[in-house]
Amino acid sequence: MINVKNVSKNFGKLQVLKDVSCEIKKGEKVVIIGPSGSGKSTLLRCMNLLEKPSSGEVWLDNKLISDMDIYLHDDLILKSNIYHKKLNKFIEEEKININQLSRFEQLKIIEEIKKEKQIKPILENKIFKKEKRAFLKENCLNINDARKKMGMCFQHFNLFNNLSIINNLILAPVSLHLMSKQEAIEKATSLLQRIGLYEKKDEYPSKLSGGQKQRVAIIRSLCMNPEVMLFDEPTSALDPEMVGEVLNLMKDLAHDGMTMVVVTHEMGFAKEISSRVLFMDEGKIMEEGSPNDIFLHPKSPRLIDFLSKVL
Amino acid sequence: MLFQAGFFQEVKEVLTTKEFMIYILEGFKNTFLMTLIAALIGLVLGFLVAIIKIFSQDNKFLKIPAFICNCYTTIIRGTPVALQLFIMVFAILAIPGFKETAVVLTFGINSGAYVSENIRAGILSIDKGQTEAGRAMGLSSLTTMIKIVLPQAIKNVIPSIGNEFIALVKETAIVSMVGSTFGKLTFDLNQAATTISKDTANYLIPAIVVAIFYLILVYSITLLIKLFERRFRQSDQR
Ligand SMILES: Nc1ncnc2c1ncn2[C@@H]1O[C@H](COP(=O)(O)OP(=O)(O)O)[C@@H](O)[C@H]1O
Ligand SMILES: [Mg+2]
Repeated sequence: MINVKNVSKNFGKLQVLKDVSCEIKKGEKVVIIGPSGSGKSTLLRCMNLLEKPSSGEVWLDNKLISDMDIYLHDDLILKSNIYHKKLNKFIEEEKININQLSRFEQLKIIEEIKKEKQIKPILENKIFKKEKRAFLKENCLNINDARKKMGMCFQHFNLFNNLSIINNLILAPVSLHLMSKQEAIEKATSLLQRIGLYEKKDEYPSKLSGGQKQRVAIIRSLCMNPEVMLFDEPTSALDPEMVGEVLNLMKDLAHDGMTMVVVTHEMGFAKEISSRVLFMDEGKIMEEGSPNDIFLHPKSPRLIDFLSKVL
Repeated sequence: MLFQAGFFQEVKEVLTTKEFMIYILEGFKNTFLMTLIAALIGLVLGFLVAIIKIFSQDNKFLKIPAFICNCYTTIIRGTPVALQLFIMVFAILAIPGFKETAVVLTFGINSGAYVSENIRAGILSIDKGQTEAGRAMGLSSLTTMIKIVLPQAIKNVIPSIGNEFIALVKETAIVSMVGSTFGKLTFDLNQAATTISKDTANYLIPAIVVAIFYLILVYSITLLIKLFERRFRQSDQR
């Protein structure tokens, strides 16, 4: 479902993700653990492009959602007939065998050709533009369309402070014309009843407790009928007595078959619901496996050290 | 001198002389109109400039508009409004019959620069998580701005924008620098005082009467702002 390919992310000089690849399959519940600052949030936020990867690709349902322009131009250039002639000429001149080129090397050549400005007429060519549009349609997904399929819950809930609970829930589905207002209200009502907060529907977020806020934030995402839910430490900002109610809702979701990616420090929760655990450290996925493997038979010293601190 | 015997008598005389009151009411009307139109121009410009500046951070197509906006706020806020008025009336829009337009535009453009900075600060003061939550649900950056961020930002900036407009009321008084005649939009309260003082041969009394009218105008605006503030706060009890 979500495919992260060779993603790196730099904040200035600091490299936070180092060539990370991972795939989330439909129905999986993937838990990401790791010490603070190891890049867990950044990886999660790269999945729905809240952070733009510095390099690498993010795919959703076999559609590219990250940095289409660079990828597209280059990939399309590789596919384009017009381009192929130029490329072949270039390759002949440089005496390179195209079949022996890796994708990386191809991209390097494209960069060279771009520098020589031969590329510009091609990019502005009508046939090229037509091909590009067709390619886009076939292989890429607009970022906003991708996000409609991915719910996200934040550590600090981020309910819309200027809207009542019910309006928090229906804003996105109605503004994006996914549902009529009537349908959205019905959906929101049944979800609110499910979490027992229907009487609060006209209150503002500031009137809710932390646990209530986070549960509302979760169903706000559910109103969009997402295919996958991303959670970034959903219980870290809560008072201890409220952690349970949020985790219970998430467990319900898991049992309903939702695909989930959860960054959390709740190891009990991870053991109970996860189908796979990723351990991150220093911007890399250091170890991954079933909860059994990770918690009972950790291999890397880093993970052993980490688990000894949190368990 | 202020409280010599005839003082209140003279004030009363100004207030009851029909001819004088026509000047004052005309001036009041024009000061009010100039402020209103300039404030509307300022609001529209202010929002536009603030949003362009904010969006230019991650939209490369807005880099040039944002540069222009930065020049605009820097120049307008870095030079006296009196100078701007002169340049606008006697150079940029020195077309016969366009003086009123030029004057109102000057005040509007001037006010827009300050309003935009207020709005920008207001937008920046809203937690980034609000934008992220909106964007994460697939809302466009513009929808997120209009439906989530701006309503919260506006609530925070009403008082400072109100102050801007109160300052604007008084700033319009410099319009006398470019001159005007009765019946034109530029014949403001301040000019009413000057005109009356020519007849009464006393500047102080008309000035005091006009000051009272300025006060009435400013105080009404203050009340209006308080009303707005309360309305906005009701929708977000904390
Ligand atoms: N917007 C940002 N700008 C600069 N540095 C950032 C930003 N976001 C995260 N970082 C840095 O990236 C590193 C990883 O952050 P994060 O992904 O939040 O880690 P985790 O969620 O595992 O605690 C940290 O060192 C953090 O300071
Ligand atoms: Mg984090």
